[in-house]
Amino acid sequence: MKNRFINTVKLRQGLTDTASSVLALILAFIVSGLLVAITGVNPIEVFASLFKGGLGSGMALAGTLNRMAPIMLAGLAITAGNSCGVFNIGFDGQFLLGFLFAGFAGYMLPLPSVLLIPVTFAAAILGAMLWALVPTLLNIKRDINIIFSCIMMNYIGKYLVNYLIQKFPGYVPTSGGSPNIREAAELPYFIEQPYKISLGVLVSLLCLVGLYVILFKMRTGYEMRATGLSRSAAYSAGIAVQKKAFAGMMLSGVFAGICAALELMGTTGRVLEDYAPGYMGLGIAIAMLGRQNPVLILISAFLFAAMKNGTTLMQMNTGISAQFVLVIQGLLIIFIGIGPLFRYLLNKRSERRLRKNA
Amino acid sequence: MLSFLQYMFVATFRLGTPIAVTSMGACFSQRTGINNIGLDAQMTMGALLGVCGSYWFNNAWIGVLIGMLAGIIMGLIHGFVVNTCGAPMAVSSQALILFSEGLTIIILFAVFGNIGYSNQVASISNTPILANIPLVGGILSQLSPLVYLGILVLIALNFLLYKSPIGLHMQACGEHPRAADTAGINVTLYRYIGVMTSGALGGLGGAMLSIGYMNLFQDGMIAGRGFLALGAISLGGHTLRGSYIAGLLFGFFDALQLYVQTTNAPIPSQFVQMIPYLASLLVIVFASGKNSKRGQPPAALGQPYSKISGTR
Amino acid sequence: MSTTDNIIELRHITKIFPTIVANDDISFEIRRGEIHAIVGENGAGKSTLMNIIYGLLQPTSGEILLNGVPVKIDTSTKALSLGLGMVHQHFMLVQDFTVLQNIILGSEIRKGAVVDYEQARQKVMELSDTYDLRIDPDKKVKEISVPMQQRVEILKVLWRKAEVIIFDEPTAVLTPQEIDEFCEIALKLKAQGKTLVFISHKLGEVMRISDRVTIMRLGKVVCTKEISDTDEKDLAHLMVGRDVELGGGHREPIKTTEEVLSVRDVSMAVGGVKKLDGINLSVHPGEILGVIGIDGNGQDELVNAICGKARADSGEILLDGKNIIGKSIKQIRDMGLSTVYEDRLKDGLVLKYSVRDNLILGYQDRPQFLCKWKAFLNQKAISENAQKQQADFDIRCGSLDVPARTLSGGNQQKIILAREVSAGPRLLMVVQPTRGLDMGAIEFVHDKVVEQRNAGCGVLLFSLELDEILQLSDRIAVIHNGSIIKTLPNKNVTKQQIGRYMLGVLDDGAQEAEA
Repeated sequence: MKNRFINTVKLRQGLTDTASSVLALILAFIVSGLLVAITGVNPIEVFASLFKGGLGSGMALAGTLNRMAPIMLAGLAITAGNSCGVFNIGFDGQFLLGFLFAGFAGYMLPLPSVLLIPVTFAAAILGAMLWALVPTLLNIKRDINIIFSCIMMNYIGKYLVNYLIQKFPGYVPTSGGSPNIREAAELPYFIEQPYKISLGVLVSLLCLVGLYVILFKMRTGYEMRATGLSRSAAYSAGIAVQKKAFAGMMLSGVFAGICAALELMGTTGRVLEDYAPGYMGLGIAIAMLGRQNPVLILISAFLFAAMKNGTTLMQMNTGISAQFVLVIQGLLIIFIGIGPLFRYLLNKRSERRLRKNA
Repeated sequence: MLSFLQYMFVATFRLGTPIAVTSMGACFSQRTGINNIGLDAQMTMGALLGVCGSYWFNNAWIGVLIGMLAGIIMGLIHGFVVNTCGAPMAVSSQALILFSEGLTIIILFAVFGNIGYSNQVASISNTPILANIPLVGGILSQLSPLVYLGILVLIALNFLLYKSPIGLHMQACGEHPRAADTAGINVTLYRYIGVMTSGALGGLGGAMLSIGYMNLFQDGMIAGRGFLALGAISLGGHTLRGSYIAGLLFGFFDALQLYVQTTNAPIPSQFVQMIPYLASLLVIVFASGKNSKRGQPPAALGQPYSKISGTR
Repeated sequence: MSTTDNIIELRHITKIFPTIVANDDISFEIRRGEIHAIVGENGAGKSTLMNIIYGLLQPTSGEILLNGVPVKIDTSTKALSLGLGMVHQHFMLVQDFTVLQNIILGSEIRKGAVVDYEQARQKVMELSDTYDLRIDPDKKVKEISVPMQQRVEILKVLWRKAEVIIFDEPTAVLTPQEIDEFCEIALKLKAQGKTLVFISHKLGEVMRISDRVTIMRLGKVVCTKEISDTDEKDLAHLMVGRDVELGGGHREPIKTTEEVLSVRDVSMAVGGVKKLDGINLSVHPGEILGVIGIDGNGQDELVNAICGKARADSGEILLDGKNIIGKSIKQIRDMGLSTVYEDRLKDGLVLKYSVRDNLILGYQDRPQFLCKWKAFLNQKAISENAQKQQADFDIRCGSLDVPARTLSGGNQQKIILAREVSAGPRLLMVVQPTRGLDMGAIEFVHDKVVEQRNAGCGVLLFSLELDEILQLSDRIAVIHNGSIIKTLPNKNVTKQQIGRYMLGVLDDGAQEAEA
């Protein structure tokens, strides 16, 4: 009678989540397609080249996977915060500080790869956590609105990083960034043939599993989620809610740091000025699509990576700017946000039916 | 020295009014119970479509109207997602910001064939009529008529909110929506009016930056000013007047930043650019002392309201 | 009797929600100028019916006749314009507005584009004098007492020229003396020709002021009776459909005089206002101490001070002889305090967590629920615990995996009780444990609380319902103005006597705290 492996209630929940995510996705594509059509470009062509560029060949697929690593980390960062009831809108600033710290470590330290790569990760995590710490402490100690302080910290971080890049030994003024990191700090590939898959993919998958285990298997995760779902009930049950929210923000910062390290060691190879890969938006979209479900998080991260990877081809074929992907993301989040409306309308319909029958 | 003061006065109003007006609108929306965090999106669309409108009709005033209309639409979407569907407001706001960032590029490309900036268009950056006023006319005429419009909006909204029956209804929606509903007040309608007003003023704020201060649109020109406007509300004690003044204060920091850039002060430019954000953050941190007596946000702020449902 | 004698006539009203039939073919009439009581348990459909009459809900089928004419009431505005007014159980008052603003809200007098407060004040005061309501129009609602707020609600309705006033549980939050005053006001309204509909489950008041009573059960009308043809016992039986025994049944004698909880001279200020002023009380193992008082006399603060949510400024709170002031909520729980909070939706449950997960909330760090370095949850033990609690406490849910939010109020309360009781507390603190529950669930909660008492656990009961305090307590402590002004054994006490204490009046007439 009791099947330990198939849990119908959870299964049904998972299916509804998936269904509404898919629905939102379709709607987002339709509306953004219409917007493109208004500007006189064929939307089918846009989406076709977008996905061809992302998924069309083994090479493209490998590129998408490699891009997925930092993107998924962004999703995990937002998910970690959301789980504890904090919206980490300061991700961009944390990312940049992690980026800078990692770049500095990867450039300065004369260590072998086995040491330098972990140290670079650690540096990135440290930088990001420091930047997450400021708004969190301001919120706890002085009750400053965390959204406001996070955004301010994003801008302050941006200019601070721009300034500190110039302080790298060997900085070349017109290069638009710091010197390249050491070769020993570049992420190796863990699959070379037939396509190159970066170690970052493995790291991101480990982080995904790690977050899942923390949230759903560990005591602290139970307490964190309770804090996120009902702060008052968690508090009344003796859970140290402020510590949990703090932990959530810090965990989010850790993932932001790892994200930055992956970006640096896997993609850019150096700290760039005014670097804005738009990972926070992606992270929010993934967190909303993923709903704390690791499989959904993985799928949506992959999807966004494919889109991002495909933008180059899309731009080449149709002239539509890479920022178009932002429109899709924004619409997607809006459509997930209005999900409850569909349920409401459905209820209303069934009520009307009942009234007719009565 | 005098010219510095003159410069700061003019620049504070020029750069501060967009923030102040946007902040006022959002404060007004808060009073009806909806927190509008996505002000950056409304300002961006207002700034961009303001320029587009001015370009299409070769008339900056029509541009301002179209910019406000764009803001209203953004406000409407936010109101729909948050109030009607009950989604978290921070998420809706962030979605709108992403959406507007992306849409900006598409529109710029479609209208001007560029992606970073627009053409130069008709603008309304000063008020020549005032030049004939003795003594201060010279300074006052340097300000855009939109700055004066901002002051009028402040007076009008203050009257509406605190004196008129409509204002009483609106405040009731923010404090205790169910009580308002049972008294026959249409909570949803008033909340939509609130968030659309905020959208309109956000659009106006954006248009002030693009065609009331400059004469073109640049990608990223809003640069977090919507969030500064949000901070201005709490600094201003959740009143319209307070929001307006705090908005001007943040404009002052912006003006200071521009001034320092023109001098050859030995400060790295990145730190100068940081001034508006850092100073605003610091002001809020220091103003938030435990014993400071400031206004409270409305009791039901951010709580979606739906009519009675279920079995109770 | 001609139809025009009936101001409201309900014909075959049915309301179906997606999951439940809330009103099933309801028909009865309300006569002009009468006080008509509607009694029934929670879930009997009274509130749904009233919301339909008041235009907040639409019936699935059926019609409403007003003065013999069928009307469609689709908004509360429409109801108001038809002369129907409602005084809600949870007052619909804006705390930050003045009394005057609240009264005129939605139908202001205008002078040009502005609100004419001067004229409104004058007219409101005339109205207030007519019914002898004695309100202060310029005070903010948050500054006035509960019965005063109720009068503001009544004035709101009168301001809109209502002919029929629906009162939803008007006496639920009042003391016996305040109930007396309320009854006077109600009779005055009736004398002025108003029709009153009076929804209640407090049968004493129903018997006292109504002319007729309609009894509802499970969405249906049982019958409508002249008040002279019935009595309290009869009504109770008709409401529940069977005889109910509240108070938990058999009681073991109290064996010991030691104290599991002693609160000594505890004072506490919140936001600069003194809320607790030298509180003294004690609870013995195996007894129920009931704390009664008018809402807002320091009960919340005392609960918070004991459970660790707030820190008392002075005095000591001893749990099993150890001072708990300054200890965290968790530390106090670990020392043997279990709390059933007043607001089960906000403080008692994580509504989106499954029943299973809710059954360990607050105990997730107990060794029996953990494995592997005490960092991981032992899912097997958690499931077994849930199954055991479900059986012991008769928690009715489709599956232990459904979110707690989908359960009925009674079953939600059972989750909380099961969880808190199974920890084997030394002291069980229960705050308003039966609020909003139906008779059957109340009976169950009472049984479980007394079961704990009989097992030797000390029980500290907070309730605003004097009936409940009298049914359950071994001793009664009356709290007034942040002090316990009287503690007495629950023997031969009358409601009126306790009611006087609740107002701060002691037997000798002096209005002071007991030394």
